[in-house]
Amino acid sequence: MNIQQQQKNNIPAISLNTQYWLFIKSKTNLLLLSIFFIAGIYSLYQGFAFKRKQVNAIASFQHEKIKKFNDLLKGFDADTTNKLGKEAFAEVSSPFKSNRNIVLPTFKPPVSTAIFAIGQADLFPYYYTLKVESFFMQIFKQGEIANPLRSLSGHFDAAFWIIYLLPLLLILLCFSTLSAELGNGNWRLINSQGITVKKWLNSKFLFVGCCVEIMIGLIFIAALLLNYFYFNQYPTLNDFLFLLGVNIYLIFWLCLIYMINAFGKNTSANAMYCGIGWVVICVLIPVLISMAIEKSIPIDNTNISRMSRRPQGAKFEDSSFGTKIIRELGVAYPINKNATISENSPGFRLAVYLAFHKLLDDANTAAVKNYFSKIEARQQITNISSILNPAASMDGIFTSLANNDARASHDYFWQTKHFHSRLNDIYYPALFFEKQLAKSDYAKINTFKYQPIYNSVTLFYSYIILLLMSWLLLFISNKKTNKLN
Amino acid sequence: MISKIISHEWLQWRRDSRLKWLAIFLVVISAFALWHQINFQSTLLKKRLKAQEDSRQEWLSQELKHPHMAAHFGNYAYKKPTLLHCFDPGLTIYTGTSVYMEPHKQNDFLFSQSQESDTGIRFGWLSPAMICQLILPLLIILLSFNSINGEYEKGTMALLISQGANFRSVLIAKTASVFLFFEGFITLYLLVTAYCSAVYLGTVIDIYAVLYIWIVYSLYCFIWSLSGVLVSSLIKSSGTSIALLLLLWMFTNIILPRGSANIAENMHPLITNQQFKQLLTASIDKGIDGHDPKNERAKKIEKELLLQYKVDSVQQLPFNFEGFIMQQSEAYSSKVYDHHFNQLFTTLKQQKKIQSLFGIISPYISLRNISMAAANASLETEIDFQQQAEHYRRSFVQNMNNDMKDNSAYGSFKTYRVRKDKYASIGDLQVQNRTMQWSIPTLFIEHISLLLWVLFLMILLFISNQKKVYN
Repeated sequence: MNIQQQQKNNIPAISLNTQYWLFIKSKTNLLLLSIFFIAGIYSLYQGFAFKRKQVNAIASFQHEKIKKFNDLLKGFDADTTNKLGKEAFAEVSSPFKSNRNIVLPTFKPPVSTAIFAIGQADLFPYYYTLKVESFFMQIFKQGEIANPLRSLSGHFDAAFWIIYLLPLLLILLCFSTLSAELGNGNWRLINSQGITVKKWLNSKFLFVGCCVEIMIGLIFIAALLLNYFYFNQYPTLNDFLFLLGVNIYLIFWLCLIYMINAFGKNTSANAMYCGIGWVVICVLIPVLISMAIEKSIPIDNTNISRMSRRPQGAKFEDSSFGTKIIRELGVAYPINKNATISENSPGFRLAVYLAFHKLLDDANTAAVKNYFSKIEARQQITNISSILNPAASMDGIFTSLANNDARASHDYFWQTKHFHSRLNDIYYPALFFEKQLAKSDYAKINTFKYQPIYNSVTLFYSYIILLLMSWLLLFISNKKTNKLN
Repeated sequence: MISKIISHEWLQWRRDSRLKWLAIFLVVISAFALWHQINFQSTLLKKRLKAQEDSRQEWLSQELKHPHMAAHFGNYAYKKPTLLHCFDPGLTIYTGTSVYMEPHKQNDFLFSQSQESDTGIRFGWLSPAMICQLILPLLIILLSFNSINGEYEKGTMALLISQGANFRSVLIAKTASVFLFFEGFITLYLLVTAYCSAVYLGTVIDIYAVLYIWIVYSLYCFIWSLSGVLVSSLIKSSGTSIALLLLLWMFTNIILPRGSANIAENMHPLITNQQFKQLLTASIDKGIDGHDPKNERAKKIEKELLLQYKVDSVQQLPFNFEGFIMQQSEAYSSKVYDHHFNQLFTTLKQQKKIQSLFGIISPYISLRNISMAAANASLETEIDFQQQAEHYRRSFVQNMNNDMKDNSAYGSFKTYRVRKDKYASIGDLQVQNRTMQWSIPTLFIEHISLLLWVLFLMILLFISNQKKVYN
């Protein structure tokens, strides 16, 4: 191999080496990296603090409700020869009395990836108190205390750091990669060493990409360690899908800034295009698409909000109405078909009342499903809109991976409903067949176990679209750099 | 001279096709934002009025039953949009839209607009206020970043100076040309917004609130115009000046508001509903001070009544003791709710104060708070709405309990029924929207911050010297 050939092969290394020295010579660059890294750590802390708050709230909630429930169960072992013991036994075993005492907790613990993206977790309840009565009536009264000030401003979590701040860092570090050298006259010197525009840009973007990747890696490892040591959670597939998404998103941004550089404009124009690009991608497009989604899928919550109203009235005292309702319940749920409870039974009014609740819930289920499906459809459009709306799409995907979006919250809602049905399956036969509840009945209830929702395949669709867009930007850049050379 | 520079500047803009496109973009997006908000808020108003009316009809048409059971049937309070929500919906999208009001407890406000939106709403919600708060400064930056250094780069500054203009008057003229251009837009936009909102929502324009918003947005526009021109005069390269201005915009308008809200939450954390309910239960069971147990409270009331009316048993009282004790219990729980909700609101207000203090470094935060307050969509107005709804809840529950106390006999819970006209005698919830004057005392820090910004920039303007940078 001759010297010229050797020199040619060494050009990428020389270019990368020059970029390294230029980079570390600039105090501004190092300061920027430090500031953004500190911001990254702070964002991780925010995710951690929010998750810790949720975990602690769930633990306290669970402890309180389970303790009360266990205290209720002690009634089975009470000494029924005295008045207090009799009362305690009746409170747990009589369907007529136990309905108000059976209070069960359900909760949605944050998953491992939740440390990165708080998403909409501040808007939705993550624990519910469950009783025998109408599901919708009780659930649509429960919510978490809202902090509108924080919701308005948004979370400073890792997702924000990645979606908004890292592109900004890339812009600041790379927007004048070529124009600065052209402007200060150094380009001739660089070019005289055989470094072409393409190689110069490649080396700079590779170097900056590696620096940012190291920052992300450190934050990611710190998050996994926090999850393991504080929350006792092992890394999950979602954590790595999140990391994959972060990298794809940053590749997209690197390609975009690369393309702006490849047009060979001056520093002022590059700054303007990069700045406008950031504003358009991170602010304008998400806002406009969100608005378009709202317009195309209108939602009205009036009917849903009314489901919290307690159904009652004189009709529950009307025995013919009561008999009709119990018969209707028997048709809907054959297990209760031959209910023995009669209008003279002490629990008759309660049975009618709860049967009415059950039938009302059934009638309302379709409306609630429709309401939720519209909200989920809105989110789905955002998640798959990466071709137009990369920032909001990735944010939606991160939130989805963190199990903190509306879909996950709704899924938790339906899991709670399923648990409520299980509770009713045990309680209703006792009420309608005038039996006493036994210890074994309570044992069948078990405790609520939340199952995180599976990822949607749209995630991969969005990732691929973003990669294709990056490739397209690179393709255009190559055309432009070839012209510049 | 200043007026000549201004007209020259405008002439140059008119000739620049890029600026024409920017102006078209501004007009289109502003019209879009206005249409979106008017359409949304007027539809919302119709839905909420209908929902409130339906709730009222359900209340009136319920069967005759025991007053306490009727109270349990409950009422709903629906938050209705006001005229300036079309301009700035503020916090209304993040707070609940309706509450179910029933005896014994103060329920949460649920069904916020943000719960029904996709995650994209966290990037901002298109409204005229958003245009003026976020987009307008960007356009100001684009028009001003090279207003001074651009003249040097083109070599036209010497020409200006040679015609008798001094450096300061050039700065003033350049600032005025940008400011007046956008001031015209703000004035027109605000007037159109107020007029269209009044027409579509069928409400009266609050002139003072509109005027106040106009003044504050004008100040904000002035701050950005002056900042743009000053940065352009202090930095030689137009490339660096636009980079710096965009960075300033991102920092003050995106990063700092988010950061300040998170820092405020870290400093004054809000308790969870679980903790809140535990505190409520403890206070109701053991007394607010922890030394007044529920049972003893009831016994004490009973003893005092027997003594006061000189009777031996509650059955001999001239009113229904059950109704009386029901109302006493309601009154006590109200006291407990007030106590704990006040603590909660205090935490939120402390958080807001921290955010307001950040307004000293971000005029956006100050403007946002002022704008929300003027539009009846601030933290204080949201709290006020909750308190009005709660006041109504208490009054209707008290009314029903008093009916039970005064008109029913002891032990007649299953047999007593209210009179036919009882339901109608309880008026519907009338929410009083607060005026802008009501909100002003809560905005002291914000006003000071904006004025400090103006003062600081004016001082910079008057001490700026071209020799420092260009010689």
